[in-house]
Amino acid sequence: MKRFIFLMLAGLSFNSFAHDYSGVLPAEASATDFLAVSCDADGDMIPDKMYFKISSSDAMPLISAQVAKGNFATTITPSRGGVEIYQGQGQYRITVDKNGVGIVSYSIEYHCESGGNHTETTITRY
Amino acid sequence: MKKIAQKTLLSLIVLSSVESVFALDSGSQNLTTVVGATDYFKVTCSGETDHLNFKLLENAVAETSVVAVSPITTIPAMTVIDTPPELKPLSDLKTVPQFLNVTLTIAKLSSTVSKIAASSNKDLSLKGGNGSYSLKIDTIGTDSTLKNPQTYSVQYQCLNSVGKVTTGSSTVSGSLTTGKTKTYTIKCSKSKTTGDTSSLKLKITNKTAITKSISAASVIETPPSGNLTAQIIKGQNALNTTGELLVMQGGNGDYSIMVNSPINTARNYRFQYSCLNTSGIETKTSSLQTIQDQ
Repeated sequence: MKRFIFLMLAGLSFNSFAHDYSGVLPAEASATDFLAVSCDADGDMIPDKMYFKISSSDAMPLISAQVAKGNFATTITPSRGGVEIYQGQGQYRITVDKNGVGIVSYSIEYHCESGGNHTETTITRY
Repeated sequence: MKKIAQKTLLSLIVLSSVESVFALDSGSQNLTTVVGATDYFKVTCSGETDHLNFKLLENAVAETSVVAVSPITTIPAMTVIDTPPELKPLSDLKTVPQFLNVTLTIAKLSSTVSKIAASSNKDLSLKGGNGSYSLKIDTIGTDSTLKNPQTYSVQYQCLNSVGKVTTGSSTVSGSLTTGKTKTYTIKCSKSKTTGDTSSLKLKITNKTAITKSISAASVIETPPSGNLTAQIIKGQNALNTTGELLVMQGGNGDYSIMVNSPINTARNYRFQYSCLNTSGIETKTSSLQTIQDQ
């Protein structure tokens, strides 16, 4: 029983570190999911970056995400793998879109970090 | 030689007017192969903006060929072509027919001057003596797809029989949207020094910038390649395009625009944008602000 509870807690703990979001873009080429990830201070830990990864099991059309914060923007494709975006504390705006007509499902992984430690991470879907 | 100089001067005038239009409503950039390359812009709409129209033109006509955009109004249907065509001389560009007609009337007399083209002027006079003259300006015959208002000025003089000014000399100026009509009343009366008015003389200047469009023959229609995508963000809304016209209904304020490549390829591209009100008339559109150029 103790072992079961430990495993359960371990699972919860893991889930709280790994932030995932899944979505499906409808067929039209203009389809765009608009998200925002807020990286907030966690006690004394001030986030210095956001880790972001997008993947899709659908080959076409090609999916990509744009992450923007302040005067910085970058495009992240599944082939780029996980990307660390050093733009500090605050809100990272994310658009997820594709390069043509067709339904595409995707999943993203994201978390805010401060010197390698996870900090407060909140996602909003607009 | 004089003729060549005149042609050169005309070309320069046309070029400068088109370029000023180009700078207002479009931009061109090159996207590099830097990993994650994203060009990032901001456009601010004010006035009574209802929406922003945006169109991405991948590797369209080379910039030096002076592609033309209507300074205002809805974005004309443009097409994406994968390889730049040969540069076309200005003479190959089709002039968009946009002009004003002016009619002067008093009692049963009237006089009309038609087709005062953009950036040109014409004179008009009517011998009607003293009295109230009606000056009507319309756009009949102008390409109805061009919604941008034409701007004009009318200098007028009430003259006696020997051409001396009597009364009522002045200038009016204004703008007129395609399909609309404006009417002014000009009153000419007797002058103590120069006597009765014999005629009213006008000089009408169409101050609208000349717009040029690509001739149909120089455009090849191809679907978007998907090598480039662009996104517009306004408030809590975002839209994506691979080349289709985007209409982002976001009112006044800052619109963020990003251009990128999902296959990380280097590309030349252009885009056209316009802030428009609910009637499709351009509102105040800021010049493009480049936030990030990659």
